[in-house]
Amino acid sequence: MAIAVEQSRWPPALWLVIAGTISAAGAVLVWCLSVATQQWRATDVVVLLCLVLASAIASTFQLELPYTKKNISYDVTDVLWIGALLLVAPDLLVVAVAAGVVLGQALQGWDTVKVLFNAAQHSLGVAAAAAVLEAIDPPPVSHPLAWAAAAVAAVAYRGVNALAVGGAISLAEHTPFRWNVLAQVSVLQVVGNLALAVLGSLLWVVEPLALLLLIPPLALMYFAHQGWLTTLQERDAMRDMARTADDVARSGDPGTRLPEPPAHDDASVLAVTLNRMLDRLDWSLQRERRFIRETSHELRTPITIVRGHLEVLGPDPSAEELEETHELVIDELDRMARLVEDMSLLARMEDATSLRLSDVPVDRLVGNVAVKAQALLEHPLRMPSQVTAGVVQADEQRLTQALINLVNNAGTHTPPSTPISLCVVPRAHDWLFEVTDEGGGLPAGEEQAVFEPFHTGRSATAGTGLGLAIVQGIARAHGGSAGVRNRPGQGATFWVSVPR
Amino acid sequence: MRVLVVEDEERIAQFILKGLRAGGHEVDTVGTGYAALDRAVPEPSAYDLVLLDLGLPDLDGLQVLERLRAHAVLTPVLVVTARLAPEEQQRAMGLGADDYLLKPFAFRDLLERVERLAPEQRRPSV
Repeated sequence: MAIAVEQSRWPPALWLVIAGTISAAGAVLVWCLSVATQQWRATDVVVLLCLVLASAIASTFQLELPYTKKNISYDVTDVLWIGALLLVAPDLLVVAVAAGVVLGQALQGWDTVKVLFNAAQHSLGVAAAAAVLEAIDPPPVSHPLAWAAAAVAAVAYRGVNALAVGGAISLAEHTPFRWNVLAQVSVLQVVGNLALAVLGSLLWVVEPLALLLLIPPLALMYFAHQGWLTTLQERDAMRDMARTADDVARSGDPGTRLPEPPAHDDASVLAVTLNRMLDRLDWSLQRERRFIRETSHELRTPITIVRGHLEVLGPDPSAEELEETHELVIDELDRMARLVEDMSLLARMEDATSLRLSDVPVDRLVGNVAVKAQALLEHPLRMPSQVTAGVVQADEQRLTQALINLVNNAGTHTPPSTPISLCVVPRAHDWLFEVTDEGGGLPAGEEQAVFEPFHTGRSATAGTGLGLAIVQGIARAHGGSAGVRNRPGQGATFWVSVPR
Repeated sequence: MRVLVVEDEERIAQFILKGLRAGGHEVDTVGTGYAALDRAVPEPSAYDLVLLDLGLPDLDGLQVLERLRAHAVLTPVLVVTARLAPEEQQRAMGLGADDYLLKPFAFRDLLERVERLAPEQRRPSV
């Protein structure tokens, strides 16, 4: 286990003191042992170099995965070191560990202070393990008692390692010592790596080439371990999601969002998808609330008028007064009826499943709209382009309704003498139906808002305020869209597109 | 009592005018915020009460209220509106409205509030 905590969070001075102390202790140890090199033979130097190289390689196979709030790192360097402890001279190994860690971590671009700290604490750990082993004086590696001795030595190495790393974190971060030390200990890794170490040393004694046989199961373990940690992460992410989803269900407020895990795994994809669903639900709920609020507001006006006029009628109204009030009441009731009718129309129009689709000849559709529009409008109606033959797959009645609404909208906002144009443009993927007026256009920036229910755009009108929302609902139900090309101060072209 | 009715919905203004006149009050009606300011600001004591709708086509009713008070028009203002939100009510009261009546309303409630607000105007200002 190496020190892999984000160093920038630490007070640099204190960190330097801790790292310096440990590094100095390690350096003294390595220097003392190196004095013995006078007695090393050429084969010892070869073994030393092999161990340095192997340590550097092993340290690059680190599994570092964020789990809960910590980075847990797993590696197989101690497999090499505990295994070698059973086979080579301890002074050789300690020097090799220090050099191997420095080489491996420096090649990975680690911070120099961290590299020196890690080299020192690993050397001290291996030296402690060697001392324990020497005290036990185990039989040859083929004897099970040697395996037990290796286990005790491994615990000694792990103990120094956990104390050094956990202690450094506690001192620098002022966090509880016990938890930081325990966080460095993984029983599974200690036991697994010990077994591999003993197995490796046994194979080395029997036939060194047999070590190659260890590579496939090691690779398998590596990936299995990686998968296991990913599963743990995903499980945690799922629990977080379930908790937040439960909060949303309890509070009924879809404004809350699920935490999105930083990793790009299945849990992250699920969280992003669910959040998109919540966005949509939130939007629908807000829209529904606004719609109900605005509908109630719209209904208040005719009710106020009817009630007020009836209340001020007086005890003895004239026949003329009665007739006026009667007409007014009927007119306001009609306004309410239109509003209620448009509301139910809007609800139906947005439902794609209620469409009755058929192949409608475009010229017939536009012709019908023109006939109806001329009956409704006092304005001259122009159809600038020759209607192309072709069919559009649509609910004829609803699409006609949408276009009539656009024509009506244009008529409401332009003086009777100005012309209104109706045209259809065949495009690569859709039919574009356009209604153009010269009614001064919309205030800039209102192009989207005019399609919202009850939006009062250009001027107060006799309409219900739902006409354009109905147009958009019909367009969307057909898989198309509706919009406006605005020319502020001049006019506007409202359009509906329907896929071909 | 002289009452200024600021209401863009003509049919609402009509029955308020009719009912208040029947109650013996002098009533003027305007349909926009600017028209209301034109009537009330030049002569702050011209009216004893302003009935103010909030949803006006030009200035918002709350802006009209703010400008009236900014021009030292201290005439009592009764806000008559279809806006339900309590925060709207709080804003109106905070800007100096004297009372708030929601549409639709019973005409006798309107009359009662008009009568109640009137004497305040007659108090000597401090």
